[in-house]
Amino acid sequence: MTFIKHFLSRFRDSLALLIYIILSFLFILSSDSMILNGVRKTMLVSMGTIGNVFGSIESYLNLREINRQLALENTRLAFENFQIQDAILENIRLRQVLQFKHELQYDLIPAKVIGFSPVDIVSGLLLSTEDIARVQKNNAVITADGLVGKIVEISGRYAICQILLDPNSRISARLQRNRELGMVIWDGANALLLDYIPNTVSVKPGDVLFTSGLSMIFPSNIKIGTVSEVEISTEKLFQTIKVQSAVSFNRLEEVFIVQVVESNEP
Amino acid sequence: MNHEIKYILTLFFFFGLGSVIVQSLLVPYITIHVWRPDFVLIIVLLMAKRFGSLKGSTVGFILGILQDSLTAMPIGISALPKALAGYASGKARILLLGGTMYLVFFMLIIFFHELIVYGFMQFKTEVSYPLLIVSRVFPNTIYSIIMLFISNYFLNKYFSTE
Repeated sequence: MTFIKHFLSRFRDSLALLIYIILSFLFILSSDSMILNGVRKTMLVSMGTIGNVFGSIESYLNLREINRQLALENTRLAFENFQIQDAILENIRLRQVLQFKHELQYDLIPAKVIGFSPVDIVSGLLLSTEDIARVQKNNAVITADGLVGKIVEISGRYAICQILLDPNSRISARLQRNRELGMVIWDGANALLLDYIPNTVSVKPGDVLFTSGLSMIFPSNIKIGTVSEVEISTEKLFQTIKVQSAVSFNRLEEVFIVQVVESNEP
Repeated sequence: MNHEIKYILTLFFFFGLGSVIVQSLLVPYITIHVWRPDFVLIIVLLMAKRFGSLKGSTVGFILGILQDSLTAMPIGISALPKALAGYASGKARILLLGGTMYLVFFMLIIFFHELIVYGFMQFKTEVSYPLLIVSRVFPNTIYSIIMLFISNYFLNKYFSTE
């Protein structure tokens, strides 16, 4: 007994470290357990509350500038709207002619960015919304500029959004110019890579990428970004295509969570 | 509850939890390109230097868990390297290192901490580990070291053993 006591008191630092290492690995392997989810939800609510206070002060200070930008954006969108209306009417007529009956409609839920994930790699945004009851895991998150990411965790009136720069992020994408399909992943820095595009396909800097709509998560035709660099190597099957994201993740203040509303109206 | 425990809890509450808040809300504003300092790690190192390896590793583990819980990553990825960093920093006390050697030791701890974090990350991404070391580990280490100097200058009176 004395030996055990002596051993424990002598090596307690190392034993504690060993326990922490084992616990860390257990946590990594069982990240969806109830206890860890509880910790995650509690932290999210606490940080969300603090972030909301900070955010309110910042928003108040920037109100004049935001107002000016919104007025400008409003005018631009109104102008674009006039031009698009004709195309929409034509589209409706054509859909009726072709008898397309099934289509998905989307509802946008506004949310405020109140913080960022506190690890080296910016992998998530902390969001706050009054309409959290309608938000579900895996809902897409967008801005007027393009795709931001998807919801991965919800607690209270707060949610964590996994952005495109997360190492786990995989988005099915389509090149606008030639309708070619690929996969968008994080490039290890502040941009994205378009993978699985064969060397034989023509891709040029400036080509625009949209969501393909092939996944159950992201609706089709949301802008992801623009091709910035193309590299073809004879040793590889696929091209190395760098993509500049349409969204500037560090400057996000407001985003919209996309809720799918299924409609079978003719 | 003795005086030291009360003091640790006070520092943990103000600086430990404060560093998680700072890391989440303010650090994105001082990010250079993709490089950012780790204030949570800095507080773990300073607390471990003051209170030893047992308390250092405990603080590192708890703050790592809290940090992980605000990300989309599995919980434990930051807790493990931070517990190791707290342990190593606490052990520096018994090595009786002088001023400059202490800083070199801290630099090594920060560097190995980043190596472990990005070691985990590389399993989640198609980006190669050597590239991550060059593009993220080295710059983040340098940024964290600079912030460690600045933080130590202002917070030394709270974490000093004298």
